[in-house]
Amino acid sequence: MATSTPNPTDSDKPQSNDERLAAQLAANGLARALLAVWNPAEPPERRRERLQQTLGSHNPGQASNDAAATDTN
Amino acid sequence: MPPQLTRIEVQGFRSFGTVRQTPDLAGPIAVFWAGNSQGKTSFSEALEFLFSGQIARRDLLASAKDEFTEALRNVHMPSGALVAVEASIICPDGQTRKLCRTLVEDYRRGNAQGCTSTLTIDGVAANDNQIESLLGIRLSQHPVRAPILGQHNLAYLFSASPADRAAYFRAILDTQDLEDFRNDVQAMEAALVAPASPEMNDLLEVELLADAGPGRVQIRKSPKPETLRARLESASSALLTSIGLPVPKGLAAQANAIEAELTTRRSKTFPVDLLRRSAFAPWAGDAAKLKEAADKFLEERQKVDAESQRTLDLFKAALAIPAHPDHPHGDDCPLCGTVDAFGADRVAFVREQVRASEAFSSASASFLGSLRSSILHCDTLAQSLSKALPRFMREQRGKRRAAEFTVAKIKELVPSDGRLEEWLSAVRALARADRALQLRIRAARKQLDHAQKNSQEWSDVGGLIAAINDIASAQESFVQQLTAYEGPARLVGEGISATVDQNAQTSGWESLIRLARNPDALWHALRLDAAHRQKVSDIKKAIREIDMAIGKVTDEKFAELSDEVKFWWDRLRPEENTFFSGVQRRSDKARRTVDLKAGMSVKDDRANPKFRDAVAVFSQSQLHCLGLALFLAKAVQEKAGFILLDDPVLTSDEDYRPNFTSSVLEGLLDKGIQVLICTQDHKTYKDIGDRWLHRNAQQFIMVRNDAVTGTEIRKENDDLATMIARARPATKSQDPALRKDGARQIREIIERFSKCLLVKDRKVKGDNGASITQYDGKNFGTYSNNVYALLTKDAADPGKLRSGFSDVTSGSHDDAPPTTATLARALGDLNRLKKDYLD
Repeated sequence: MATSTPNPTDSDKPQSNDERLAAQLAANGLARALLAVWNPAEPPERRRERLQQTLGSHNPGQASNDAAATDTN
Repeated sequence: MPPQLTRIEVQGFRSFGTVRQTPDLAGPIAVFWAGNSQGKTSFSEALEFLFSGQIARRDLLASAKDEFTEALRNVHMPSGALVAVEASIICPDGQTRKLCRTLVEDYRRGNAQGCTSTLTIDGVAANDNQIESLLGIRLSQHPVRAPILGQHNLAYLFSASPADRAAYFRAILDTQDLEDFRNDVQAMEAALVAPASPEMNDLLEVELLADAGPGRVQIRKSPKPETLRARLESASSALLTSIGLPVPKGLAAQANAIEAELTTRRSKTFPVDLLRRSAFAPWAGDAAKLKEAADKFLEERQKVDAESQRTLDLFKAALAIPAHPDHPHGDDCPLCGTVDAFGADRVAFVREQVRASEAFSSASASFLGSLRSSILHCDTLAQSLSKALPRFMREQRGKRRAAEFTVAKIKELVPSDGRLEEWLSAVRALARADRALQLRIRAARKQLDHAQKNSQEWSDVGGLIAAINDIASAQESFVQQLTAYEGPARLVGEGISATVDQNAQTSGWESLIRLARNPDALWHALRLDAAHRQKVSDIKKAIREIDMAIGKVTDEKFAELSDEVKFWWDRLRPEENTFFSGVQRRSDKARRTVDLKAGMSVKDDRANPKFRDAVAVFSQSQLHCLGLALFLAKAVQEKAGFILLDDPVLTSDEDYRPNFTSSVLEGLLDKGIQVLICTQDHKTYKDIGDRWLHRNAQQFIMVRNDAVTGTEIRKENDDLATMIARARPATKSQDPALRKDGARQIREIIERFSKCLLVKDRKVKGDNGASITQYDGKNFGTYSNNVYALLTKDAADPGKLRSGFSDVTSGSHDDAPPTTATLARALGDLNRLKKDYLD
């Protein structure tokens, strides 16, 4: 989530919901990208707008290619 | 620091009456003792009302809401009397604030919304959200919102629906934000609208067209425009071949061939052409410009008379004569020879006549030009009007019938869904608008013709411009009707075409023709559709992943909650081989079903347990403990600063009561939770008071001697009041043994009252060292006369005390105990004497 602040004193085990959720989602996946921009403190319309923008710009193929390139390297 | 209560005030709420009760809570633990029907439940519900504005019991008994009508206001108080609950709260910021809720309207029959109330914080109007934002008290999920465990809501989870139970735990686990995130992502999927595209609709039609060959279904999978074009051509060729027509080269030529055959076939079934019409070209003239030209024309015409116009050439010729140097006063007239007739004045006059005539000529030309232009626009409009109508409206009735274009025929062809009637209505309205516009055009044309032919006499500018404006308004009405006609006409046209095509076996042909004529548009539509499908697929995949991830997070948090519940369970029921095992989702995919699991082992160390649903296998006592453990775990998870427990241990659970008063309370106090306990079990009350004396445990008793005064809350150090309250049930009992015990209690009350009175008198007289303990071991007879002497407020008072003592003293030794009336009278007298002499 956009407002999450990791707890530096407890880096081994995520505590907040968004940290826990992020830890369960694929690193380059759309779900993770959506979670990164989702901010519960924002008005619903603004939240949905951010999600839409992320959906519009997300390129899973590119993400896979990037990952593959990283693997190759 | 979590919020904690320092004082509670209750007035007029249920059993509480006109006298406001104000127990001070100067410590982390307070225990309230009350007999049956003395106000225990009223007290816990008063706190529920304070924090949530409602009482949970009503919501939990969903089918009996109406039965709570007028349930909150003390029934013996007048309707306008104050009903309010207050609490002084030390907030997380260290400030003490006062929260007050006042009942405005009690529960009403038929009103599902509940009661209404007003809320203030430190005397300032507040809303429910400020209970958390200002006071730091976070309320839970409906219906058990306040951190108050009553008998009625302890078993809520075991009877709640699966959805309610899941919502309850979601609130405890604090995962609503994850649900909100998921819902927002899912809403995005619902909001994705497939791009509207006539080409995609046509493609669907073509895919159903078997005669277009098997390759037709490959059209949408074309990887590039060239492939798409080739597959369309293949489909067109297949269709033409299937109907026995030669296949021309090129997609466009094939489309033309199919269309020709389609037109032929359709016309054999129904004159579809009669539905066609052309676009309407509205009036393009400029009435303002025409008016300007007409006004100028009339203005110039007025300046120049007809005679001047006739002699214009003559005037021009005269002006062309050069001036004669020998005639300084003017030339002679060239026509009649009048001497000096053509002087300067005359020349000026002639020049003015010539100028006016020329301006007039110019204005006249302009006006006539505007007239011609307007006439042309009128004629154009009339032609456009005619073509804008569907052809059947321009055909004569006889020709329409000959072509079988009739309402009866159309009715056979279109679905009976009202579209025909709507179309007929639109046709009639369009016909009326057409006639009106035609009339306006003809009227204007007449005016224009008249002005053109009689320009020298014509002067009706107003009439002409009004006629033109009439065209504009009639035209606007016509355009409106034409627009209204479009929708019904399209539906009827589609209905007719579909049936005709079906009859003529040409369904999908028209779609193929359109696609063949514009494959680029189809390619573009296919790209948009693919992008849309990709987005939908991406979101669905993301939602699946989010669901899995939320499930795993929920499992983690359930495990943590289970540990907390186990913590309390093991403090309540340690070393039992049937035990609480965990709270968990029913399966990996379950989102709405939560189970409470019990472990059952044959060994004391709980080894190799078998697991079952706790609701099914736990005894009532175990379920009660599980409800309490869940509530305590919830309080810890939600960081409640205080809790109120209404008889948390069943009377029948004698074995577990010590566990509660010791290790459970110890655990709560260690976690910094302030504990308020209401109980009717005096042993529990006394045990808590004794055990937690070092933590400044506060003890209160609740008694309800008078219905209007209501429940009174007294500090435990008011021993006499406690003794009176405790004796009351025994005085009403039909059990002789209990009444005998009641008599014994009353005798002790008399002795206690007498000692208190003696000590009070000595203190009044300056003996500050006077103490009740100084009378320990002395019986009533040794000091009774001193007591009687102090009962001076009413001459009858000594007799009441003496009589009461006599009644209960004999009762404690004889086989026949005092009657309930005797005991009640003695206790009532003592209560009054206490109020009159000690309170």
